[in-house]
Amino acid sequence: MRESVRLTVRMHRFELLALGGFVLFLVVASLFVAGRLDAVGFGPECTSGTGPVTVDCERLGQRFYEIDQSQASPLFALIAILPYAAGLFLGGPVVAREIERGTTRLAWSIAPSRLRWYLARMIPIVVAVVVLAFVAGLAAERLFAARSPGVDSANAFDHYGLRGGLIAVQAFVMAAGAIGLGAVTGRVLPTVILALVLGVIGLNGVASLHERFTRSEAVIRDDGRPGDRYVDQFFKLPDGRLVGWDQLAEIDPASMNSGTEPQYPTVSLVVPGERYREVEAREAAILGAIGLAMLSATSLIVQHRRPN
Amino acid sequence: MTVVLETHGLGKRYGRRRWALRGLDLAVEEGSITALVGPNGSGKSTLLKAWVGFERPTAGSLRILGVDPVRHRSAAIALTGYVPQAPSLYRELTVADHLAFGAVHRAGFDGRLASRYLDDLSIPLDSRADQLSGGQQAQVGLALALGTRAPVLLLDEPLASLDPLARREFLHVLVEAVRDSGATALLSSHVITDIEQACDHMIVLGGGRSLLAVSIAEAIAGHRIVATAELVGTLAGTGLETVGRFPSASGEPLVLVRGHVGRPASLEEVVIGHLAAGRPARPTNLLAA
Repeated sequence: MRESVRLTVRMHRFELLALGGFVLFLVVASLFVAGRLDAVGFGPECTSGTGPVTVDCERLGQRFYEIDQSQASPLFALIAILPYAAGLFLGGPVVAREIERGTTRLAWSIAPSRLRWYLARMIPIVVAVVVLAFVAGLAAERLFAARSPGVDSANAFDHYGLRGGLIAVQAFVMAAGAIGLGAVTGRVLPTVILALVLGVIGLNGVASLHERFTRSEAVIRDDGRPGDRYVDQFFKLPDGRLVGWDQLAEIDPASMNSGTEPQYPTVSLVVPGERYREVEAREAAILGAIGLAMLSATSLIVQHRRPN
Repeated sequence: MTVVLETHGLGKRYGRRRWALRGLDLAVEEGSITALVGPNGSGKSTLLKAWVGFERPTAGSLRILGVDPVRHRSAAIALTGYVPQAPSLYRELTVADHLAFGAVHRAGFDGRLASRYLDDLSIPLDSRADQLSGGQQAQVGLALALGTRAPVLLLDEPLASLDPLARREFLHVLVEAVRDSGATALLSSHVITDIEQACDHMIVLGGGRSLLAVSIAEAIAGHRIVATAELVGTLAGTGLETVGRFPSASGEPLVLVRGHVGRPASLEEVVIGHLAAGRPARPTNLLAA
């Protein structure tokens, strides 16, 4: 087992070092920028919106958002591409490069069990992808906490999918897809291009479907709180009915033409921020199941494929 | 004698029309070193790949020590040491890593035996595969196949890209190893002189069919060469069995015959004569001329 892992790591040394370096950069940079944001001292007292905006808060906010925009935002952009980069860069070559270079002729003639060969090649790489992406996800959590003072990151939908364990699962799915496509095409470059296109469509498709489902679970709250996932806003009529702008315009056109906001109280349709971890775990489970299914399908392809 | 490798009516078709192998019946005896000879596209590689389960037959069946590689590929591979046509080593790994790879994936892999062969050839175990010459890479491929201690060795044109000295060393290692272990080897090659040194049997493939399958000694003893002019002038009507017609290196028309007339045939002439016979008929006929 140890020897098998050592050989796989040696075969992918370049990719592992490059991706490891990229993740190390993200972690160090995230911690550094988070430290700088913390050091500004732009705390919840300035962001809660309950008290008057003091001169101090204004000055601190200017400094805080300057760092946020110039340093934290670009870092989050890099973290957003990490699952794609990690999955494609490490997953793409696992089977495709072996078929392309013809090493499967040697490997599959020595190994009576192609399944065992596949597991020995795939598992260390998938584990590396997940671990590296998870570390990056943790760094993103820290950065998020620093750039969102007063927001409980464990109970907030802000930056959903760009932090925490979901990054690791996204990278896992990308890697699984790239490994599978590599087994089909047997060529690295077409695999990476195809996996990128299908991965972007697939991950966003799943996220979009899951979001639609999550919105169907939204609840009415008199006041939206920081961290809630906002879905819609309604006016509460005296009889208790909840109506939108269009309906209100039909029911009480005068209130719409007064030149000011309608005088009915508003309520929000939101997915409460307290459900963040639960929703995140559900999406991770869906993506994880898709990834496992793709890896299983790949094992069948590997067992029936011609080496070259 | 026990038959180790056999095919029965084996056919392999690529696409809708192109048959690489067709109706092939073969038997390779235990302990032999058999040469598989034929022009490009004659089906040599396809046949060897079918025995290791890399190609699925379109028709017929094949066995390796009684095991059907189509139905029981793992069992067939466990009986086989295979050397692919092009060196297929991992360029990122050292030679020692390749031996470790063999030990990880093949039960009973004899790394010591393999490294001894490589030591004898002064191939450093700590060299990366991409730093080795083509001949050394082929030797590593052979050492890996020998390290499996498989009873059957299948070698798919391993000599094709090697210089004469490397070919000689490769064949020496192969013959020694096969003689020591009692294994059976099937070696496809274009180089007839090498075959003559190393092999005791020969199978000539042409157009996906077996044109000749005999021992090397029988092949040489059973064939003669007659010049066409001689055949027409003095030997016509003697009932000679002509095999094939082909030109000599100097362009002289020759005929390979079975019988006792004419000069002894070289192994190369036997192979060329049978390949010429297996080729589709041409409009001109040397004998008629």
